This record gives sequence, structure tokens and C-alpha cells, in this order.
Amino acid sequence: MRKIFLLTLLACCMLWSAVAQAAKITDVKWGVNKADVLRIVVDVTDTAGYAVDMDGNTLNLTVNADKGKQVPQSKAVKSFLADSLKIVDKGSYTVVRVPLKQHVPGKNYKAFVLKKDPATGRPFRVVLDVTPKQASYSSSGTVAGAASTVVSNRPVVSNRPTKTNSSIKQNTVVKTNTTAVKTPDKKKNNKKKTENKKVDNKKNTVAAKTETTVNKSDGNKLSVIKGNGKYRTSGGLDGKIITLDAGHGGSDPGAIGSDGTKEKNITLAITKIVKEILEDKGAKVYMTRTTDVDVFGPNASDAEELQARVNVGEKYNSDMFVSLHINSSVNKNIGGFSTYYYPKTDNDLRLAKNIQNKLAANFGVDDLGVRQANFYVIKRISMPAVLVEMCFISNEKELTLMKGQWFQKKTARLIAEGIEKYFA
Amino acid sequence: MRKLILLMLLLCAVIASGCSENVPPKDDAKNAATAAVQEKKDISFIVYRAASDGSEKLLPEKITMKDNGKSLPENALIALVTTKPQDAKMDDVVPIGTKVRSLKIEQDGTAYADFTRELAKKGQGSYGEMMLCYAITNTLTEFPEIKRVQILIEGKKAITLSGHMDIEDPLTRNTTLL
Repeated sequence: MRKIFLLTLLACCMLWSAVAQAAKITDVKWGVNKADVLRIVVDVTDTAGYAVDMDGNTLNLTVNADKGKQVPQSKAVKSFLADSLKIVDKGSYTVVRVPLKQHVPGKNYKAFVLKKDPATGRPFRVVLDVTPKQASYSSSGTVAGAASTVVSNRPVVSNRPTKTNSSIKQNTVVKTNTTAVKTPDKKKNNKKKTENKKVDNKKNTVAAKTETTVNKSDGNKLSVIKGNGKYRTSGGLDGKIITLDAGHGGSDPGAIGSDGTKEKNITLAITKIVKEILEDKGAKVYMTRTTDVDVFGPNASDAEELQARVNVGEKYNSDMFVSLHINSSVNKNIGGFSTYYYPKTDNDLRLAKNIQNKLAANFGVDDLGVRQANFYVIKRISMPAVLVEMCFISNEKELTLMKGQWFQKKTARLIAEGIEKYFA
Repeated sequence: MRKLILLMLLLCAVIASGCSENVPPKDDAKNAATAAVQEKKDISFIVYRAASDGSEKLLPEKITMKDNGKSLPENALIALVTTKPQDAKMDDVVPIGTKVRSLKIEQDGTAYADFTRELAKKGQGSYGEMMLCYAITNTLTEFPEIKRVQILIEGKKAITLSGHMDIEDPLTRNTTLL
């Protein structure tokens, strides 16, 4: 009887303490990732509601929790986006104010929560990610830049030149043509991009290429060619240098259809037609392969084979790199065109849109749209690049289509038209 | 004043709980964890599967199983690779025969997920490859201790699985697919 009484009392006490001691904010941290995404993390003792709103150029994260005494009223931030943040105690709730230095559209910020984790002792957290409007160039960024934010209490200098790739160690410069261009650090790279715009159509024809050998993490040595880093983005098709990449080839058949049709053969057939059309319009076109071969050579590692394709684009100082593929899926009903880009320059998305719009408007198949992806050839190359997925070999209807001349010619023509429009 | 009384009551209760063994200890989380191990309780976690409508979305599937002593992330990874989705709205994008060799989680939040060579099957389209990479990454980053995922094939860092995705650097959670 006494026990029950005490238990009831205990329960009452716990209930009371839960109500009275509402969730409390214990810390507010921030961090900046490689893609310059600013992440703000609010540690809370218990689950709490939250809301985000934009007031002028100030982003407000309201958390339904008391501000802990140890939490400062403001914090310095080192980011492209903000210099400081304020933590305002509103009594029953707390507002984290982030005065932004640039206008950020709604789709560029989002808040979410992370659950309390007893195993690691992490509290319940409210997280706010803010992506800059134009994410700065990052060679080793990720598709969802927002997710890769490293949160730390220490200030992170967002735009310092970091290693191009943590897992690639510069080894020795093997060969240098003309003046050596060292791998530029990010700041220089950004600067160069701006310069590019200015001298857009007065392209420096002096080829400045470097070829370096890098030790890959898998133990292989890899030959990496860097072009002069310049590319033209307007002024018509005439005289433009375009590298076309027919997906897969040689030992790698790519995806295979139900009747044994191989992706590598369809991509090569279409790529050849695209080349003809573009050359007729005055462009200088290179192909990573013109027959059914591995671009690197027999027995290539995955890295060698993919880098060999990138190297072709760099070697000729191309203005554009277009990789053509056929898609495949375990679900046989999926079909349609999609164009992938990696947001490394101001022009990747524009190129993807120009090509995808042509394909979507002129075919009766599904428009899967323009999508962002962490694909090797479009990410590691310096000039604007896209990877076009020309329907699904796993879809019977589309398989029949893609084997025919009509589809191949029409697809090639529309891709060429998209490229022409991009340069217009 | 009322607070003080309640506080005193709470104090009494805590003291009383020290004498009486029936009152649960204060540390609920720890207690729950211990109980789970002792009673072979059910554990549950989320795995991400590709949406079968081709919409390039990953859908969460909740899996509940008997506690087998393995860590939650390891169980989630094994479940993703070896079980079929229970919902027709989801597709299994893991190549047949793939097995998890090991899962190592470093202090810095990087998880090293090591698979047998079947995972790097050539001939998957870029769609399948991308969904596969992020089904693995998003399933693992569901656990707060995992921030990024390095995919290994037979113990070695993989550059790509089927010739499209660049997975040399660890992948982070892809929120655009969710």
C-alpha cells in the first residue's frame, strides 16, 4: 500500500517536472561545409516544436523551448551567408535570428529535427540548413551539399582553399605543355570563372595543359589531364569545341535489354549522329571513343576508365562535355528521358535544361526532367557537362524504340539542337 | 510554496525508491536498453527503398525484428541488402547475392560499409546505381552517429559501382531523394 502511494507520488512528481521544466536549449552551434552550406544546430533537452520564417533578409528559427542561461545572446559566424547569429529569449520560446548577407530563396533553407540518441549522448536537435544561392565551386562536393555539413563549436573558415580531394595525393608532374598551370586553389578557380565570363568569346587558344599522376585511394596510379580551364558559353555553335562521350564500351556493355541489346552500342550509334550534326553546323567535335572499346584500354580499373573520358574533354580544352547513356531499372515500367548535371559552374544547369527541354517537348515518352547527380565524368571535368539518359533499356517499349533509326536520329537531332540553343 | 512541497515529495519518493526495489531507477534509457538485451526484445529501425514509380524518391520502411545483439545500423544495413520490401510501392535495388561484409563506424561519423563484389554489378543504369548508393547512405545516416558513408567492395574503396556514380569520397545523406 505504501509502495503504491509512493509510486503515485513519484509519477505525479515526474509529470509535474516534465510540464514545469519545459524543453531547454543547452547550446547553439554552427558549421559550414565544403559547399558553403551554413548549418545551425540547436541542442534541446527534450523534443520541441520549431518554425522557420524569413523577415526581410533575416532568417528566424523559432524553437519552442526556453533559452538556457549558458547559451550566449549572440555568436560570431564565419560564412558567406552571415557574420553572426542572435539568440533571443522570448520567455516561453526562443528565436535564433540569422541576418543574411545575401537574399536566399525559400527553397535554399530548411529546418528539420534529429532525434535524441541515448547511445551517443546526443540531445534532441533542431537543425537549420541554409544553402547559398550560387554554391561555390567544390570539386569534391556532394549531391546534397546540405547534408554534408560538419558541425563544430569551432569557427570553420568556409572559403579557405582546401585540398582538392582528400583521397587524392598529388604525386609528380609527369609532363607539362607550355606554361604549367598548377591545380588552382578554389579562390583562384572562382576568380577564373568570373574572368571566363568576360573573355568569353576571346578564348585564349594557347593550350595550357598539365598532366599529373595521382595515387588513387585504391592503390592505382591515375593519369589526370587538366585543360586550360577556359570554356566558351555563347556566340553560336561555329568553332566551339565539344567532346561527346558514348557511355560504356569494350569490356563494359552498360545496361542490357531483355533481348540482349547492349547500352554501349546504342550510345555509340547516337553519339556518332550527334557528332555529324554538330560538325555540319561548324563545331569541332571529339569523341571519347569511336568504336566498341574501353576508352582507357583493356583491363582498366573503374577510375582509369572514367578518368580517361574526362581526360579527352580536358586534352582538347573543350567548351562542353556531353555524355550519352541509356538508363535501366529493376522496375520495367519506368521510362523516359532525364538529363543530369553537377552544379560546378554557372552553366551546367543551363546546358542540362536546354537539352532536356528539347527531348521532353518532342517525344511522347516520360519527361523525368533535369536532375542533379554525383556522376564521375560530369563532376570531375572542369567545363560545363551533362549526362543524358536516353530512355530505359529495361522498358520493353523504349527498348524497341531505341533500336530503331527513327529514335536514334531524332534523339541525336534534339540533343544537337539543345547544344546549339545553349550556345545561341 | 506548492513547488517546494512537490519537490520535497519528489525527494521522499527518490529516497524511498532507494529502499524499495520495485521502483525503476532514474536512468530510464539505460534501463530500457538493458531490459531489451535481457528479454530479447523487438528492435526496429528504418531502411530506405527506391520508390517503384521511378520518381527518384527513397521511401522509408520500418523493420521490426528480434534483437540479435548486433548494432542497429548493422541490422539496418543487413536488412536493406537481404530483405525484400514489404510494400509494392518500393523496389529492391540491391543486386542479387550482395552481402554485407562488415560495418565500421569511426568517431568522426564516417561509416565504412563493406560489401561483397555483387554490389558493384555492371549493367545497372545510372538510375539504379544512384538509388542503390543513396538507399545505403540514407539508411545508415538515419542513425545520428553516422554522418557519411564510404562504400567498400571486398574491403577496398570503390570509385564507382556501375560506371556513373562517383563514390570515391564518402557520401552524405541525400535529402533531395527523400
